[in-house]
Amino acid sequence: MPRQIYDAGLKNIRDDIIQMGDLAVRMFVLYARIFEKGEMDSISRLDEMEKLQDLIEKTVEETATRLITLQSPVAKDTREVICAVRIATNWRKISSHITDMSEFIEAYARKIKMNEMDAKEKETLNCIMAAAYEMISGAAAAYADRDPEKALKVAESDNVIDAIYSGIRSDLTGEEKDGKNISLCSLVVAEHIERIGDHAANICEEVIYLEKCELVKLN
Amino acid sequence: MSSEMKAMDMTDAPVLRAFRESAGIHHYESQEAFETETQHPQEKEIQINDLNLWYGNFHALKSITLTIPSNSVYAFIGPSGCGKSTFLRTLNRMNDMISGCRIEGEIKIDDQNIYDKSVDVTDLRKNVGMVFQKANPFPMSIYDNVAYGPKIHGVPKKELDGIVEHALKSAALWEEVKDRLKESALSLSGGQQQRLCIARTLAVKPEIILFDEPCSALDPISTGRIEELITELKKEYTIIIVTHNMQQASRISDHTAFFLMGELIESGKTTHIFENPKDYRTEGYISGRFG
Repeated sequence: MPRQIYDAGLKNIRDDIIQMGDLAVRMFVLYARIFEKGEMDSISRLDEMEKLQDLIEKTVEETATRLITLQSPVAKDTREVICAVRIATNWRKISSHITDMSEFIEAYARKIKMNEMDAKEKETLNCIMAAAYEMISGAAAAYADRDPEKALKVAESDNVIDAIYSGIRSDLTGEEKDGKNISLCSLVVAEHIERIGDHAANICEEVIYLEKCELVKLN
Repeated sequence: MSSEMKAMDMTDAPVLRAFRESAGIHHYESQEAFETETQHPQEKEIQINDLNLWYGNFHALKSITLTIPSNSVYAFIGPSGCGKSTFLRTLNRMNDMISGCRIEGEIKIDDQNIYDKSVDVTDLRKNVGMVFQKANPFPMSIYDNVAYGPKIHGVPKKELDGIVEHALKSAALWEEVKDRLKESALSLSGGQQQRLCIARTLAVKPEIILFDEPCSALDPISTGRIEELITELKKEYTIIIVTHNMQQASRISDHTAFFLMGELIESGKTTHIFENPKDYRTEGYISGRFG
Protein backbone atom coordinates (compact mmCIF):
# COMPACT_ATOMS: atom_id res chain seq x y z
CA MET A 1 0.00 0.00 0.00
CA PRO A 2 1.46 3.43 -0.93
CA ARG A 3 2.11 6.17 1.63
CA GLN A 4 1.94 3.95 4.71
CA ILE A 5 3.79 6.46 6.92
CA TYR A 6 1.46 9.25 5.76
CA ASP A 7 -1.69 7.24 6.39
CA ALA A 8 -0.37 6.08 9.77
CA GLY A 9 0.24 9.74 10.74
CA LEU A 10 -3.31 10.70 9.76
CA LYS A 11 -4.71 7.75 11.72
CA ASN A 12 -2.67 8.72 14.78
CA ILE A 13 -4.01 12.25 14.65
CA ARG A 14 -7.61 10.98 14.34
CA ASP A 15 -7.15 8.53 17.23
CA ASP A 16 -5.62 11.26 19.40
CA ILE A 17 -8.59 13.57 18.83
CA ILE A 18 -11.05 10.77 19.63
CA GLN A 19 -9.09 10.09 22.82
CA MET A 20 -9.20 13.79 23.78
CA GLY A 21 -12.97 13.83 23.29
CA ASP A 22 -13.39 10.70 25.37
CA LEU A 23 -11.20 12.16 28.13
CA ALA A 24 -13.17 15.40 28.17
CA VAL A 25 -16.45 13.52 28.52
CA ARG A 26 -15.04 11.48 31.41
CA MET A 27 -13.67 14.63 33.04
CA PHE A 28 -17.08 16.25 32.88
CA VAL A 29 -18.71 13.23 34.52
CA LEU A 30 -16.11 13.39 37.31
CA TYR A 31 -16.82 17.08 37.74
CA ALA A 32 -20.56 16.33 37.96
CA ARG A 33 -19.85 13.86 40.78
CA ILE A 34 -17.78 16.45 42.59
CA PHE A 35 -20.60 18.95 42.26
CA GLU A 36 -23.45 16.58 43.05
CA LYS A 37 -21.94 14.19 45.55
CA GLY A 38 -19.00 16.17 46.91
CA GLU A 39 -16.41 13.58 45.82
CA MET A 40 -13.53 16.01 46.30
CA ASP A 41 -10.94 13.22 46.05
CA SER A 42 -11.66 13.14 42.31
CA ILE A 43 -10.05 16.57 41.81
CA SER A 44 -6.55 15.08 41.76
CA ARG A 45 -7.72 12.67 39.04
CA LEU A 46 -9.04 15.62 37.04
CA ASP A 47 -5.63 17.31 37.31
CA GLU A 48 -3.97 14.20 35.95
CA MET A 49 -6.46 13.97 33.10
CA GLU A 50 -5.92 17.62 32.23
CA LYS A 51 -2.17 17.04 32.05
CA LEU A 52 -2.84 14.12 29.74
CA GLN A 53 -4.97 16.38 27.53
CA ASP A 54 -2.07 18.87 27.33
CA LEU A 55 0.25 16.06 26.33
CA ILE A 56 -2.06 14.74 23.62
CA GLU A 57 -2.59 18.26 22.26
CA LYS A 58 1.18 18.69 21.93
CA THR A 59 1.41 15.30 20.21
CA VAL A 60 -1.30 16.33 17.75
CA GLU A 61 0.54 19.58 17.01
CA GLU A 62 3.83 17.76 16.46
CA THR A 63 2.25 15.14 14.21
CA ALA A 64 0.42 17.84 12.24
CA THR A 65 3.62 19.85 11.76
CA ARG A 66 5.47 16.75 10.61
CA LEU A 67 2.71 15.76 8.18
CA ILE A 68 2.53 19.25 6.66
CA THR A 69 6.31 19.55 6.38
CA LEU A 70 7.13 16.10 5.07
CA GLN A 71 3.98 14.69 3.49
CA SER A 72 2.28 17.69 1.83
CA PRO A 73 -1.33 16.75 2.57
CA VAL A 74 -3.99 17.89 0.08
CA ALA A 75 -7.78 17.90 -0.20
CA LYS A 76 -9.51 16.23 2.76
CA ASP A 77 -6.16 15.30 4.28
CA THR A 78 -5.34 19.02 4.64
CA ARG A 79 -8.60 19.57 6.47
CA GLU A 80 -7.93 16.50 8.59
CA VAL A 81 -4.67 17.99 9.82
CA ILE A 82 -5.86 21.58 10.26
CA CYS A 83 -9.10 20.55 11.99
CA ALA A 84 -7.23 18.20 14.30
CA VAL A 85 -5.02 21.01 15.58
CA ARG A 86 -8.00 23.30 16.12
CA ILE A 87 -10.16 20.60 17.72
CA ALA A 88 -7.33 19.58 20.04
CA THR A 89 -7.09 23.18 21.28
CA ASN A 90 -10.84 23.24 21.93
CA TRP A 91 -10.75 19.94 23.87
CA ARG A 92 -7.82 21.19 25.94
CA LYS A 93 -9.68 24.40 26.77
CA ILE A 94 -12.85 22.47 27.70
CA SER A 95 -10.77 20.30 30.01
CA SER A 96 -9.20 23.36 31.57
CA HIS A 97 -12.63 24.84 32.28
CA ILE A 98 -13.75 21.57 33.88
CA THR A 99 -10.72 21.54 36.19
CA ASP A 100 -11.16 25.22 37.08
CA MET A 101 -14.84 24.65 37.91
CA SER A 102 -13.97 21.70 40.12
CA GLU A 103 -11.30 23.64 41.99
CA PHE A 104 -13.76 26.45 42.54
CA ILE A 105 -16.37 24.02 43.85
CA GLU A 106 -13.80 22.58 46.27
CA ALA A 107 -12.92 26.04 47.62
CA TYR A 108 -16.57 27.09 47.75
CA ALA A 109 -17.59 23.93 49.58
CA ARG A 110 -15.20 24.77 52.41
CA LYS A 111 -17.37 27.79 53.23
CA ILE A 112 -20.84 26.65 52.27
CA LYS A 113 -22.28 23.16 52.35
CA MET A 114 -23.31 22.25 48.82
CA ASN A 115 -26.31 20.26 50.06
CA GLU A 116 -27.65 23.43 51.58
CA MET A 117 -27.81 25.12 48.18
CA ASP A 118 -31.24 26.43 47.22
CA ALA A 119 -33.16 23.70 45.40
CA LYS A 120 -34.22 25.92 42.51
CA GLU A 121 -30.67 27.16 42.03
CA LYS A 122 -29.38 23.61 42.03
CA GLU A 123 -31.98 22.56 39.48
CA THR A 124 -30.93 25.40 37.18
CA LEU A 125 -27.30 24.38 37.46
CA ASN A 126 -28.21 20.76 36.78
CA CYS A 127 -29.96 21.88 33.61
CA ILE A 128 -27.01 23.86 32.25
CA MET A 129 -24.66 21.02 33.17
CA ALA A 130 -26.86 18.51 31.40
CA ALA A 131 -26.86 20.66 28.28
CA ALA A 132 -23.07 20.94 28.49
CA TYR A 133 -22.73 17.19 28.86
CA GLU A 134 -24.94 16.73 25.83
CA MET A 135 -22.74 19.07 23.80
CA ILE A 136 -19.43 17.58 24.90
CA SER A 137 -20.46 13.97 24.34
CA GLY A 138 -22.29 14.93 21.11
CA ALA A 139 -19.28 16.79 19.70
CA ALA A 140 -17.02 13.86 20.52
CA ALA A 141 -19.43 11.44 18.83
CA ALA A 142 -19.89 13.71 15.79
CA TYR A 143 -16.11 13.70 15.24
CA ALA A 144 -15.72 9.98 15.86
CA ASP A 145 -18.63 9.19 13.50
CA ARG A 146 -17.64 11.86 10.94
CA ASP A 147 -21.24 13.04 11.03
CA PRO A 148 -21.82 16.71 10.05
CA GLU A 149 -25.58 16.43 10.58
CA LYS A 150 -25.04 15.28 14.13
CA ALA A 151 -22.55 18.13 14.63
CA LEU A 152 -25.13 20.66 13.45
CA LYS A 153 -27.74 19.26 15.80
CA VAL A 154 -25.37 19.15 18.77
CA ALA A 155 -24.40 22.80 18.27
CA GLU A 156 -28.03 23.82 18.67
CA SER A 157 -27.73 23.02 22.41
CA ASP A 158 -25.41 26.00 22.73
CA ASN A 159 -28.53 28.17 22.57
CA VAL A 160 -29.87 26.37 25.64
CA ILE A 161 -26.67 26.97 27.57
CA ASP A 162 -26.51 30.63 26.54
CA ALA A 163 -30.14 31.15 27.60
CA ILE A 164 -29.64 29.59 31.04
CA TYR A 165 -26.40 31.51 31.54
CA SER A 166 -28.07 34.80 30.61
CA GLY A 167 -30.88 34.00 33.03
CA ILE A 168 -28.48 33.35 35.90
CA ARG A 169 -26.49 36.48 35.18
CA SER A 170 -29.52 38.75 34.99
CA ASP A 171 -30.97 37.17 38.15
CA LEU A 172 -27.78 38.05 39.99
CA THR A 173 -27.03 41.43 38.50
CA GLY A 174 -30.35 42.74 37.19
CA GLU A 175 -32.54 45.25 38.96
CA GLU A 176 -35.22 42.69 39.68
CA LYS A 177 -32.80 40.16 41.07
CA ASP A 178 -33.86 37.48 43.45
CA GLY A 179 -30.65 37.26 45.44
CA LYS A 180 -31.94 34.53 47.68
CA ASN A 181 -31.92 31.95 44.90
CA ILE A 182 -28.74 32.80 43.00
CA SER A 183 -25.25 32.56 44.45
CA LEU A 184 -21.78 33.43 43.23
CA CYS A 185 -21.27 29.67 42.77
CA SER A 186 -23.95 29.56 40.09
CA LEU A 187 -22.46 32.47 38.22
CA VAL A 188 -18.94 31.01 38.22
CA VAL A 189 -20.14 27.56 37.15
CA ALA A 190 -22.43 28.98 34.48
CA GLU A 191 -19.63 31.15 33.08
CA HIS A 192 -17.35 28.15 32.72
CA ILE A 193 -20.14 26.09 31.15
CA GLU A 194 -21.00 28.87 28.73
CA ARG A 195 -17.38 28.81 27.50
CA ILE A 196 -17.45 24.99 27.34
CA GLY A 197 -20.54 25.24 25.13
CA ASP A 198 -18.76 27.65 22.80
CA HIS A 199 -15.74 25.33 22.49
CA ALA A 200 -17.99 22.33 21.84
CA ALA A 201 -19.79 24.32 19.12
CA ASN A 202 -16.39 25.17 17.63
CA ILE A 203 -15.62 21.45 17.45
CA CYS A 204 -18.93 20.89 15.65
CA GLU A 205 -17.97 23.60 13.13
CA GLU A 206 -14.70 21.75 12.52
CA VAL A 207 -16.53 18.46 11.92
CA ILE A 208 -18.71 20.15 9.28
CA TYR A 209 -15.67 21.74 7.61
CA LEU A 210 -13.80 18.45 7.72
CA GLU A 211 -16.56 16.47 6.05
CA LYS A 212 -18.25 19.02 3.79
CA CYS A 213 -15.50 21.59 3.17
CA GLU A 214 -17.90 24.31 4.33
CA LEU A 215 -16.97 26.99 6.81
CA VAL A 216 -19.91 27.60 9.14
CA LYS A 217 -20.42 29.68 12.25
CA LEU A 218 -22.46 27.90 14.91
CA ASN A 219 -22.09 30.15 17.96
CA MET B 1 -25.29 8.74 27.57
CA SER B 2 -23.36 7.19 30.43
CA SER B 3 -25.11 5.41 33.25
CA GLU B 4 -23.49 7.86 35.65
CA MET B 5 -25.18 10.81 33.99
CA LYS B 6 -28.49 9.01 33.72
CA ALA B 7 -28.30 8.23 37.42
CA MET B 8 -28.04 11.93 38.11
CA ASP B 9 -31.22 12.42 36.11
CA MET B 10 -30.05 15.68 34.59
CA THR B 11 -30.86 15.26 30.95
CA ASP B 12 -34.62 14.97 31.30
CA ALA B 13 -35.05 17.95 33.55
CA PRO B 14 -38.30 19.82 32.72
CA VAL B 15 -36.52 23.18 32.58
CA LEU B 16 -34.04 21.83 30.06
CA ARG B 17 -36.82 20.41 27.90
CA ALA B 18 -38.56 23.78 27.94
CA PHE B 19 -35.38 25.51 26.87
CA ARG B 20 -34.82 22.95 24.14
CA GLU B 21 -38.30 23.51 22.76
CA SER B 22 -37.91 27.26 22.76
CA ALA B 23 -34.46 27.16 21.17
CA GLY B 24 -34.60 28.11 17.48
CA ILE B 25 -32.64 26.42 14.69
CA HIS B 26 -29.19 27.89 14.50
CA HIS B 27 -28.35 30.00 11.48
CA TYR B 28 -26.29 27.96 9.08
CA GLU B 29 -24.05 29.78 6.60
CA SER B 30 -22.47 27.82 3.75
CA GLN B 31 -19.93 28.98 1.16
CA GLU B 32 -22.20 28.53 -1.85
CA ALA B 33 -20.88 31.66 -3.54
CA PHE B 34 -17.58 29.92 -4.18
CA GLU B 35 -19.36 27.02 -5.89
CA THR B 36 -21.53 29.35 -7.94
CA GLU B 37 -18.51 31.20 -9.20
CA THR B 38 -17.19 28.08 -10.88
CA GLN B 39 -20.41 27.63 -12.81
CA HIS B 40 -19.55 30.69 -14.89
CA PRO B 41 -16.28 30.14 -16.71
CA GLN B 42 -14.32 32.97 -18.27
CA GLU B 43 -14.35 33.84 -21.94
CA LYS B 44 -13.99 30.65 -23.98
CA GLU B 45 -10.64 30.56 -25.71
CA ILE B 46 -10.04 26.88 -26.46
CA GLN B 47 -13.03 24.56 -26.77
CA ILE B 48 -12.42 20.83 -27.00
CA ASN B 49 -15.49 18.81 -27.98
CA ASP B 50 -15.70 15.01 -27.75
CA LEU B 51 -12.08 14.48 -28.69
CA ASN B 52 -10.94 10.90 -29.29
CA LEU B 53 -7.45 9.81 -30.29
CA TRP B 54 -6.10 6.39 -31.28
CA TYR B 55 -2.52 5.18 -31.74
CA GLY B 56 -3.31 2.28 -34.05
CA ASN B 57 -5.84 0.23 -32.05
CA PHE B 58 -4.97 1.84 -28.74
CA HIS B 59 -7.64 4.31 -27.66
CA ALA B 60 -5.41 6.94 -25.98
CA LEU B 61 -7.92 9.78 -25.46
CA LYS B 62 -11.57 9.05 -24.76
CA SER B 63 -14.30 11.61 -25.42
CA ILE B 64 -12.50 14.60 -23.96
CA THR B 65 -14.64 17.72 -23.63
CA LEU B 66 -13.06 20.74 -21.96
CA THR B 67 -13.03 24.52 -22.12
CA ILE B 68 -9.75 26.31 -21.51
CA PRO B 69 -10.22 30.00 -20.62
CA SER B 70 -7.93 32.64 -22.06
CA ASN B 71 -5.21 34.38 -20.01
CA SER B 72 -5.03 31.71 -17.39
CA VAL B 73 -2.82 28.76 -16.48
CA TYR B 74 -4.43 25.34 -16.99
CA ALA B 75 -2.60 22.35 -15.50
CA PHE B 76 -3.00 18.78 -16.78
CA ILE B 77 -2.19 16.17 -14.16
CA GLY B 78 -2.36 12.40 -14.03
CA PRO B 79 -0.16 9.30 -13.78
CA SER B 80 2.30 8.38 -16.55
CA GLY B 81 0.51 7.07 -19.62
CA CYS B 82 -2.81 8.71 -18.74
CA GLY B 83 -2.87 10.75 -21.96
CA LYS B 84 -2.14 14.24 -20.67
CA SER B 85 0.91 14.84 -22.90
CA THR B 86 -0.92 13.29 -25.85
CA PHE B 87 -3.79 15.68 -25.20
CA LEU B 88 -1.37 18.63 -24.92
CA ARG B 89 0.13 17.74 -28.30
CA THR B 90 -3.29 17.69 -29.96
CA LEU B 91 -3.56 21.41 -29.23
CA ASN B 92 -0.90 22.28 -31.82
CA ARG B 93 -1.27 19.12 -33.91
CA MET B 94 2.08 17.67 -32.91
CA ASN B 95 0.47 14.21 -33.09
CA ASP B 96 0.02 14.64 -36.85
CA MET B 97 3.61 13.49 -37.24
CA ILE B 98 2.99 10.15 -35.49
CA SER B 99 2.07 7.38 -37.91
CA GLY B 100 -1.06 5.45 -37.01
CA CYS B 101 -2.45 8.35 -35.00
CA ARG B 102 -6.13 9.02 -35.68
CA ILE B 103 -8.20 11.83 -34.21
CA GLU B 104 -11.96 12.43 -34.02
CA GLY B 105 -13.80 15.37 -32.50
CA GLU B 106 -12.86 19.02 -32.63
CA ILE B 107 -10.61 21.56 -31.00
CA LYS B 108 -11.69 25.14 -31.55
CA ILE B 109 -9.39 28.06 -30.95
CA ASP B 110 -11.35 31.28 -31.31
CA ASP B 111 -14.15 29.30 -33.00
CA GLN B 112 -11.82 27.82 -35.64
CA ASN B 113 -11.49 24.02 -35.61
CA ILE B 114 -7.73 23.49 -35.78
CA TYR B 115 -8.27 20.08 -37.44
CA ASP B 116 -10.15 21.71 -40.32
CA LYS B 117 -8.49 21.04 -43.69
CA SER B 118 -8.16 24.76 -44.35
CA VAL B 119 -5.91 25.30 -41.32
CA ASP B 120 -2.21 25.98 -42.03
CA VAL B 121 -0.35 23.86 -39.46
CA THR B 122 2.70 26.16 -39.56
CA ASP B 123 0.54 29.13 -38.67
CA LEU B 124 -1.14 27.07 -35.97
CA ARG B 125 2.21 26.16 -34.36
CA LYS B 126 3.28 29.81 -34.53
CA ASN B 127 0.11 30.69 -32.66
CA VAL B 128 0.39 27.77 -30.24
CA GLY B 129 4.00 27.61 -29.03
CA MET B 130 5.49 24.73 -27.08
CA VAL B 131 8.18 24.36 -24.42
CA PHE B 132 9.43 20.85 -23.79
CA GLN B 133 10.55 18.86 -20.77
CA LYS B 134 14.22 19.11 -21.64
CA ALA B 135 15.60 22.47 -22.71
CA ASN B 136 16.56 22.15 -26.39
CA PRO B 137 18.44 25.29 -27.49
CA PHE B 138 19.84 25.24 -31.01
CA PRO B 139 23.65 24.95 -31.21
CA MET B 140 24.03 28.62 -32.03
CA SER B 141 24.31 31.93 -30.15
CA ILE B 142 21.80 33.13 -27.58
CA TYR B 143 20.76 35.90 -29.96
CA ASP B 144 20.32 33.58 -32.92
CA ASN B 145 18.25 31.13 -30.90
CA VAL B 146 15.67 33.84 -30.21
CA ALA B 147 15.91 35.47 -33.66
CA TYR B 148 15.55 32.15 -35.51
CA GLY B 149 11.75 31.96 -35.43
CA PRO B 150 11.05 35.56 -36.50
CA LYS B 151 13.70 35.24 -39.25
CA ILE B 152 12.06 32.22 -40.87
CA HIS B 153 8.71 33.98 -40.64
CA GLY B 154 10.20 36.80 -42.72
CA VAL B 155 10.69 39.51 -40.11
CA PRO B 156 13.13 42.19 -41.47
CA LYS B 157 16.62 42.07 -39.97
CA LYS B 158 16.37 45.63 -38.60
CA GLU B 159 13.46 44.57 -36.35
CA LEU B 160 15.21 41.53 -34.89
CA ASP B 161 17.21 43.35 -32.17
CA GLY B 162 14.02 44.73 -30.64
CA ILE B 163 12.22 41.39 -30.84
CA VAL B 164 15.14 39.51 -29.23
CA GLU B 165 15.44 42.03 -26.40
CA HIS B 166 11.69 42.03 -25.76
CA ALA B 167 11.47 38.22 -25.79
CA LEU B 168 14.45 37.83 -23.46
CA LYS B 169 13.01 40.45 -21.09
CA SER B 170 9.63 38.69 -21.12
CA ALA B 171 11.38 35.42 -20.31
CA ALA B 172 13.20 37.11 -17.38
CA LEU B 173 16.58 36.33 -18.96
CA TRP B 174 17.68 39.67 -20.41
CA GLU B 175 19.61 40.93 -17.38
CA GLU B 176 21.62 37.71 -17.23
CA VAL B 177 22.59 37.52 -20.94
CA LYS B 178 22.44 41.06 -22.36
CA ASP B 179 26.25 41.31 -22.38
CA ARG B 180 26.85 37.88 -23.89
CA LEU B 181 24.27 37.57 -26.64
CA LYS B 182 26.82 36.23 -29.12
CA GLU B 183 27.91 33.40 -26.81
CA SER B 184 26.70 29.88 -27.43
CA ALA B 185 23.32 29.07 -25.92
CA LEU B 186 24.82 25.80 -24.75
CA SER B 187 27.00 27.73 -22.28
CA LEU B 188 23.90 28.66 -20.25
CA SER B 189 22.76 26.74 -17.18
CA GLY B 190 19.81 24.33 -17.42
CA GLY B 191 17.38 26.86 -15.98
CA GLN B 192 18.69 29.62 -18.26
CA GLN B 193 18.43 27.31 -21.28
CA GLN B 194 14.78 26.59 -20.43
CA ARG B 195 14.04 30.32 -20.15
CA LEU B 196 15.86 30.82 -23.48
CA CYS B 197 13.50 28.26 -25.02
CA ILE B 198 10.58 30.21 -23.57
CA ALA B 199 12.04 33.41 -25.06
CA ARG B 200 12.39 31.62 -28.41
CA THR B 201 8.73 30.66 -28.22
CA LEU B 202 7.66 34.20 -27.26
CA ALA B 203 9.66 35.73 -30.13
CA VAL B 204 7.13 34.50 -32.72
CA LYS B 205 4.27 36.07 -30.71
CA PRO B 206 2.02 33.13 -29.96
CA GLU B 207 -1.30 33.44 -28.15
CA ILE B 208 -1.09 30.08 -26.43
CA ILE B 209 1.94 28.40 -24.87
CA LEU B 210 2.07 24.68 -24.10
CA PHE B 211 4.51 23.55 -21.41
CA ASP B 212 5.29 19.83 -21.22
CA GLU B 213 6.85 19.29 -17.78
CA PRO B 214 9.10 22.34 -18.17
CA CYS B 215 10.73 22.08 -14.75
CA SER B 216 11.23 18.36 -14.34
CA ALA B 217 14.98 18.64 -15.01
CA LEU B 218 15.53 21.85 -13.03
CA ASP B 219 16.66 22.61 -9.47
CA PRO B 220 14.25 24.35 -7.04
CA ILE B 221 15.66 27.85 -7.72
CA SER B 222 15.37 27.51 -11.50
CA THR B 223 11.94 25.92 -11.04
CA GLY B 224 10.86 28.89 -8.94
CA ARG B 225 11.96 31.29 -11.67
CA ILE B 226 10.07 29.42 -14.38
CA GLU B 227 6.96 29.26 -12.19
CA GLU B 228 7.21 33.00 -11.51
CA LEU B 229 7.62 33.58 -15.23
CA ILE B 230 4.58 31.46 -16.11
CA THR B 231 2.48 33.41 -13.62
CA GLU B 232 3.68 36.64 -15.25
CA LEU B 233 3.12 35.37 -18.81
CA LYS B 234 -0.54 34.48 -18.25
CA LYS B 235 -1.35 38.20 -18.32
CA GLU B 236 -0.70 38.10 -22.06
CA TYR B 237 -0.87 34.42 -23.00
CA THR B 238 -3.01 31.36 -22.39
CA ILE B 239 -0.81 28.81 -20.67
CA ILE B 240 -1.32 25.05 -20.55
CA ILE B 241 1.09 22.98 -18.53
CA VAL B 242 1.58 19.26 -18.06
CA THR B 243 3.21 18.50 -14.73
CA HIS B 244 3.85 15.59 -12.43
CA ASN B 245 4.52 17.97 -9.58
CA MET B 246 1.29 18.39 -7.61
CA GLN B 247 2.65 21.32 -5.63
CA GLN B 248 3.63 23.04 -8.85
CA ALA B 249 0.16 22.56 -10.30
CA SER B 250 -1.45 23.92 -7.14
CA ARG B 251 0.99 26.85 -6.95
CA ILE B 252 0.77 28.22 -10.45
CA SER B 253 -2.43 27.06 -12.16
CA ASP B 254 -5.88 28.63 -12.11
CA HIS B 255 -7.54 25.46 -13.40
CA THR B 256 -6.60 21.81 -13.26
CA ALA B 257 -7.70 18.76 -15.21
CA PHE B 258 -7.06 15.23 -13.95
CA PHE B 259 -6.61 12.46 -16.54
CA LEU B 260 -6.63 8.71 -15.98
CA MET B 261 -6.29 6.01 -18.63
CA GLY B 262 -7.22 8.39 -21.44
CA GLU B 263 -10.27 9.80 -19.67
CA LEU B 264 -10.77 13.27 -18.28
CA ILE B 265 -11.89 12.38 -14.76
CA GLU B 266 -12.33 15.83 -13.26
CA SER B 267 -11.59 19.43 -14.12
CA GLY B 268 -12.24 22.79 -12.52
CA LYS B 269 -10.69 25.51 -10.45
CA THR B 270 -7.39 24.43 -8.96
CA THR B 271 -8.56 25.36 -5.47
CA HIS B 272 -11.48 22.96 -5.88
CA ILE B 273 -9.42 20.13 -7.26
CA PHE B 274 -6.84 20.36 -4.48
CA GLU B 275 -9.12 21.28 -1.58
CA ASN B 276 -12.27 19.32 -2.27
CA PRO B 277 -12.14 17.05 -5.33
CA LYS B 278 -15.43 15.41 -6.21
CA ASP B 279 -14.04 12.16 -7.60
CA TYR B 280 -12.34 9.66 -5.29
CA ARG B 281 -9.81 8.88 -8.03
CA THR B 282 -8.71 12.52 -8.16
CA GLU B 283 -8.32 12.59 -4.40
CA GLY B 284 -6.40 9.31 -4.47
CA TYR B 285 -4.01 10.63 -7.11
CA ILE B 286 -3.30 14.10 -5.70
CA SER B 287 -2.75 12.67 -2.23
CA GLY B 288 -0.27 10.19 -3.67
CA ARG B 289 -2.25 7.08 -2.80
CA PHE B 290 -2.10 5.74 -6.34
CA GLY B 291 -0.50 6.56 -9.65
